[in-house]
Amino acid sequence: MEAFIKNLAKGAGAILREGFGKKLKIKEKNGFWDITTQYDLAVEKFVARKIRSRFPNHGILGEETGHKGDKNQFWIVDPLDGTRNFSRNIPFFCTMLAFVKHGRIEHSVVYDPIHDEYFSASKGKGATLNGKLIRVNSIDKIESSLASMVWGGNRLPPAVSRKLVRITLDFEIWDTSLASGGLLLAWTGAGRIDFVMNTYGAIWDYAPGALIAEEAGARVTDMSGKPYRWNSESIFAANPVLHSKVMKQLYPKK
Amino acid sequence: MREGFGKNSKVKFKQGTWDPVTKYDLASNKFLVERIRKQFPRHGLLTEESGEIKKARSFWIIDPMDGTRSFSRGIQFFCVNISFVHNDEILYAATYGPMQDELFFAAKGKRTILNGRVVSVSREQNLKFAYSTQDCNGSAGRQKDRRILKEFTLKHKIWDVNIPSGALTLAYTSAGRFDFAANISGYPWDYAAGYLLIKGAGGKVSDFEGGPYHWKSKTIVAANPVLHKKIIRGLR
Repeated sequence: MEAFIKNLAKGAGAILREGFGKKLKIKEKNGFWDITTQYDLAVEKFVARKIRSRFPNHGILGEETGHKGDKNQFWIVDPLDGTRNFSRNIPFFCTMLAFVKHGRIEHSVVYDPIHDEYFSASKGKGATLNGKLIRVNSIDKIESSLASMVWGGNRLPPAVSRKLVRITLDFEIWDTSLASGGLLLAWTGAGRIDFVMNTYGAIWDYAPGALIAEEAGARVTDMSGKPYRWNSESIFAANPVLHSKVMKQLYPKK
Repeated sequence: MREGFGKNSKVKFKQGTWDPVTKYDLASNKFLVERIRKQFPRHGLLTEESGEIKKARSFWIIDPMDGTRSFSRGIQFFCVNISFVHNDEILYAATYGPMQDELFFAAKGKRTILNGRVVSVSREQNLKFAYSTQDCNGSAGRQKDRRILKEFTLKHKIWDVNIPSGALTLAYTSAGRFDFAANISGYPWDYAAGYLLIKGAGGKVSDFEGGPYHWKSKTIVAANPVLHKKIIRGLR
């Protein structure tokens, strides 16, 4: 299984690497911020074809095509996370996959084709970056932490944005919101950044990075503090100490 | 830097945990200072790691590594940042991202180039659609400016993408990757090169209040002229 996933993600990444910097056909979906290019579509097609021929009984839930087939065993596919970066020649985006069985994420991959970084995790087996085990860091202060708090301007309700901005300013956080939530979750697993908070995304934005962060030692919940599930609509990942400190700031009365 | 990236290196902190320095910053600094001194013994030097080494009418502003916090955490977004000032005017600028192998270069009065190709700032004129980058970090810069900038971003529902290297975000803006940059957490060595890169790419550049940018300015706002006007108006 791991070898199949690795080939799949690297093949998908190669398509993106080849397309990076080339002329794009950009289509808007929900609005100017929600775009797709011919490369998103090519990758999803490539990945879906490979999965179907290897596992004809599995379902696929893809950003570009929705959920098709089985719902007990299925693949979550985000062919290109960070399309807005990709479309503007900003070298920060990734391709992501997760395999879900009976409501549990079993395997996942986040692959950054530009820097050739392959993050992967299997349930209960830890998370790796290019084959080496990774761990979250042990930062225990919110002050001056390096974190991705809020981005995507128009996607958040103003009250939520405001609260997150207030915490960012009060704790003098270094905001590293780079517009690819999946890759930032993997970075949290590798200890590069201290936490990620993200909301109003889609299932495929969070599921792959969530398992990587969790297997690397992060506490991964939704924004209300409930354990993250493959279909949660928000995500908050940090090492357990920092996680509880930030939660206290978000919900002082609890 | 590329050689040192990902290696286990000792990190020292200057003003706080957010202000680290590694032996690679220092090695890069030494390399640049030695090269410049040999070639131009009379020129002055102002660097992040050694301060003002020598005062002169012609001098170099150097940040041997912008984005040390990125570098020290294994994040690939950092750069070396160099500009040359003569009679108080920035005449040359270079920003180099070693991990992406991208060299942004500008000479006063000429077009900015990226790895040999001419680049331009973006043409977006609508704030609502703007893809922005902001160097607005932690405790650096003025608290008042941080609040104004965040309030502005919220009000116009602007996307802000925060690459933890202020100099690199300016270079990217010169290539049209971001529609505007609003950086308010800097020192001369952070933004001086970006000023010329963006001018040479057709952009308008000012400080955070909308006044002329000077190499000593600690803030910078850059965009195409139409968008720039809207941003400055919005920040008031």
